[in-house]
Amino acid sequence: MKRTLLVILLPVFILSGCWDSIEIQNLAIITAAAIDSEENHKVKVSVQIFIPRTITSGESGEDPSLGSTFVREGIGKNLAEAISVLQTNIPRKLFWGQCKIFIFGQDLAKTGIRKELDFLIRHPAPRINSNLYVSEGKASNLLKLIPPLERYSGEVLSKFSQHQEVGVDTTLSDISKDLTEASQSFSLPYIKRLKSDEYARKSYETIPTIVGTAIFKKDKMIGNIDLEETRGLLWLSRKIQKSTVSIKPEENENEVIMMPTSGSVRFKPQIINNQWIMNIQIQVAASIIQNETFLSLLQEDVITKLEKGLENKLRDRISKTLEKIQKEYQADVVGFGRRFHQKYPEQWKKVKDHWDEKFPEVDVKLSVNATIKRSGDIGGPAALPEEEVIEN
Amino acid sequence: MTFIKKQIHRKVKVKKRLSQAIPLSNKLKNNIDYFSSLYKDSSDVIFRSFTIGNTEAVIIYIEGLSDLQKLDELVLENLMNQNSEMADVFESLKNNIPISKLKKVHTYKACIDSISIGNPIILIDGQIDAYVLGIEKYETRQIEEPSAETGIRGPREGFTESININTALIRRIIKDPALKMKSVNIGKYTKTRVIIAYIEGLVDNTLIKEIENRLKRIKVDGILEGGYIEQFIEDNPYSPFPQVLYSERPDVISANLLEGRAAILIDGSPLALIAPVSFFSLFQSQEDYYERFLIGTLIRILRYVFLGVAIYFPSIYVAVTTFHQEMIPMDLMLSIASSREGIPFPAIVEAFIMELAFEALREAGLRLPRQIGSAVSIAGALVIGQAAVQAGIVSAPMLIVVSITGISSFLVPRYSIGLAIRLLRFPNIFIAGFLGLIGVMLSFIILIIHLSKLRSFGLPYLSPIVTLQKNATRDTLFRYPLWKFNLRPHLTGQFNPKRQKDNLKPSKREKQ
Repeated sequence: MKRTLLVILLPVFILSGCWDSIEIQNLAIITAAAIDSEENHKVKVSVQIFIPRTITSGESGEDPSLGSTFVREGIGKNLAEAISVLQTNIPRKLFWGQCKIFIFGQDLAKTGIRKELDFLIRHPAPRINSNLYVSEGKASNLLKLIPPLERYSGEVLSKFSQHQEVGVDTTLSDISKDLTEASQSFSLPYIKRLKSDEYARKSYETIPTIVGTAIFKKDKMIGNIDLEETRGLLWLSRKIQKSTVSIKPEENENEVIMMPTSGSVRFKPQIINNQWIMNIQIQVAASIIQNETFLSLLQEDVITKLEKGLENKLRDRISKTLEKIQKEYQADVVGFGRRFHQKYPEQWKKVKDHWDEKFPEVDVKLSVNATIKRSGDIGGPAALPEEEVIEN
Repeated sequence: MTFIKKQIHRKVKVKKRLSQAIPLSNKLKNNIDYFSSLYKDSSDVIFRSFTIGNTEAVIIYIEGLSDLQKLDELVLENLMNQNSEMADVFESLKNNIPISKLKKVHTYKACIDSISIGNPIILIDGQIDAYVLGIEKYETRQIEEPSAETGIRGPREGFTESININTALIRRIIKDPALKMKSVNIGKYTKTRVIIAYIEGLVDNTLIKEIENRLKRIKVDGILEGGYIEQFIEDNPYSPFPQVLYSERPDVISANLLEGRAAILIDGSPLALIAPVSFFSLFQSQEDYYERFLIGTLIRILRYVFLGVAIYFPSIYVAVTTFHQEMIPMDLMLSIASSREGIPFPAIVEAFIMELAFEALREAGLRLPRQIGSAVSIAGALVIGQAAVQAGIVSAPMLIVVSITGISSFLVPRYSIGLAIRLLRFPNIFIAGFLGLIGVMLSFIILIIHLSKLRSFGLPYLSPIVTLQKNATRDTLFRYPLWKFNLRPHLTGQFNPKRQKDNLKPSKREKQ
C-alpha cells in the first residue's frame, strides 16, 4: 500500500515538478497593448507594463504624474516577431494573462488586421474576452497617457467599455465569430486622446476616450461613425442608451429633455415576394429630466405629444445610422445576416455568398413605441408662477 | 544465570497466583501475612487489628481513599463493642454496621480490587470470607463549566475526573431505566474503570458487543485518558481524522445516546467518547439545536464554508500566484504584485514560513498557563506578522491568507477535527506549490477517497451523505426544525427509528 503510494506520488513531484511555475515578482504584467504599422510592412507592438510599487509603504514621495506604468515597444516583420523582440528588452517574463485591452492604430486597421488577429486568437496567452479598439493616429501614443483618475490608460478604456456603454463593446471572440460568419463585418470603438486644458496638468496627463465607432468590412477598416450615430448602432445592438434625448414640442422654442430608462429591441426578419424586410420594434420607457418649456407635464396630452416626439427622435437617430452602415459602408455590423439565417436558412444559402450586395437592399421597417413613465419630482415647470404655466 | 531464571519463575508464579483468584485462608495470620507481603513498603496501606468479642479481626484500607469518619464511628465502634459470639458473621455484620454497601468476597484478588478503589476489607479469624465496606471517599474536583466546550445557551455542567459523578450527570438527564452502564476495568496497573453507556432499545446490540470486544482486546499498563482507548479501538489508525468523538458535556453525550450511539466513560478523564461518529457529526454543536433552526442552519453552512477555507485557502493562494496568475481579477493581481515586490521568498516558502510560525505560536499559547495564553499568542502573531510585512520579508496578502485560515480552523466545533485540518494544510500547500491547481484538485480527490474509505465502528464516515437516505440528511448541511426530526439518524438510529410524534409543528389551530 505504502509502496504503491510512493510509486504514484514520487513521479508526480520528480517528473512534472514545477516546470511552469513563475512567481509574480518575475512577471511583467501587461495592462494594455497597442499594435501599429511601421514602414516596410513592419509591425510595432507597444505594451503598457505595470510597475509594482508597494502601496503599503509609507514613502509616498513619488510624483504621481510619473504613473504606475511604462511603455516598451518592439518592432518586427510580424506580431509574433515584434513580441519576441519586445521580450528581449524586458528583464521579466511578459505576462499577457491580465491584458484585456488591445488598440490597433488606424493605419494598420485600414490595411487589415487579419494577421494580427490570428496571432491573438491562436496564442493561448492573450485573453479571448479582451476588448479591441481602433485609435486615431498611432495607438502607442495612447498607452503613454497618464490618466489623472485611473492608474493607467488601459483601465480607463475598460471602464468605458464595461460601465459606461458609450461605445460598442467588441471582444476578440466576437470578432472571430463575426469574421467567420457570412456578414464578415464588425465594429470597434474608435478612440482618441481627450484634450485637456487644465493648467495644473501636463499635456500627457489625460485619457483616451471613445469618440465613435470604426466600421470594419472583412478585416479592413472602411470608415468610422461619430458618437451620435454610434448611439443608433447601440440601440440596434439591444443596448438601451441612457443618454439624453431632447425634444422640441410644437409651437415652442425650448426643449424637454428625456432619458430612456428601460426598453426592448426586437428584430423580425421577413421575406415577402423576394423582398427582404427587417422589422425592428423598439419599446422604450423614458423619464423627463429637464423641462425648459412652460408646459405642465401633468397634462396627459402633453405627455402623449412628448412620447410622439421621442419616438420620432429615436427613429430618426436609428435610421440615420442604418442609412450610413447600409448604404454608405454596406457593412452588416448589426447582424441582420445572422437573423435572416436563423429564420430563413434555405433562402439564406442562396444569398450567403453575396450578402454584402444584398444587405443594402434589405428594407428596414422601424417602429418605435415610447412611453414616459416619470416626469421627475415635480409636475409643472419649476420656478414659474402658476399663471404662466401652459396647461395644454 | 540460574538466579535470573529463578526470578522469572517466581514472577510468573506470583502472576499466576493473582490471576487464578485463589480463595482466602481461614487462618487470619495467613491472610495478614499474604497482604503484608503484598503491600510491603506501601506506607499508605493501613492494617488495623482489633477484636470482635474474642475473635481477632483486621481492617485493611488505603489512606485517603476511604471515609475514615464512617470507618471509626459506624464500623469500629460497633464491632468493638460487640461481645456476643457471632453465629452468622455476615448476617450480624449486616445488622450491626449501618453501611448501605456491604459485600462478602472470598478471594485474594477481590480483596485487592476493593482495597485499591478505597473500600476497606474486614478479615476475621476463622472466616474464609472477607467483608468489603463500601465507604470509599476521595477528593474530587467540583463540577465546573466545561472549559473546552463553552456555549452561550445550554447547561453549564461539565464532566469531572471522577466517573461516578459523570455517570450520575448522565443519569440525571436520562432517567429511564433503559440507560445501561456496563463497566470494564482496563490497565494492568491502573485498573481504570471504563463504562460503556447506552440506551437499551435504541442502540444496535452488535455495536455494544463490538465495543466490548475492542475494549477487552486492550492489554496495556495503564489508561490515563480517553485518548488511549480511542487509539486502541478506532477502525483506521493511520487516518488523521478522528473516528470517535469526545465531549465533556453531559448534554452532548445524552443527545448522542438518544440517537442510538454509545458513550464510553473513562475514570480519571473528564471527556467521554462517543461512537460511532460520521464526518458530519463533527460539525454539529449542541447550540445548533438549542438556538432556532434558521440560526443553526446558517452557522452550520458557515462551518462547512470555512472548513474549505481552512484546508484549501493557503494552497489555492500559492497555486494561483505561482501558476495561474490570469485567474486573479486584474485589480487584485496588481495589488498582490505590488505587495509581493521585493519579497525574497517564493510564495510556497512564504506560505510555509507563515503557517509554521502560526502553528508554533498557537502551540506555544496552548502550553502557557491559563487560556489567556492563546490570546497573547495570537496578538504576538499579529505583531510578528506586521513586523515581517513592514520589513519586506513576508507579503501582506500572505499574512491575510494565513490569518483567515487560522481563524477558520477555529470555527470547527470539535477540536480533534481542527487538528486534522491543520495537519492537512501542509501537504496541500506543498502539492499546490508543485502542481498548482491540478495538485490542489488531486489532493482534494485523495481526501474524498480517503474519507469515503473511513469507517467508524462500521458506520461509513461520510454518511448520511453517501448513504443518502431520505430524511437522514436533515441534520447535516442544514439543521431542520426540531419538529421535523421525526426519525433518528440513519444507521445509528435505524434500530428504533421513530423518535417523536408526527405533526409536532406548532400551529395556531390545534388539529382535533
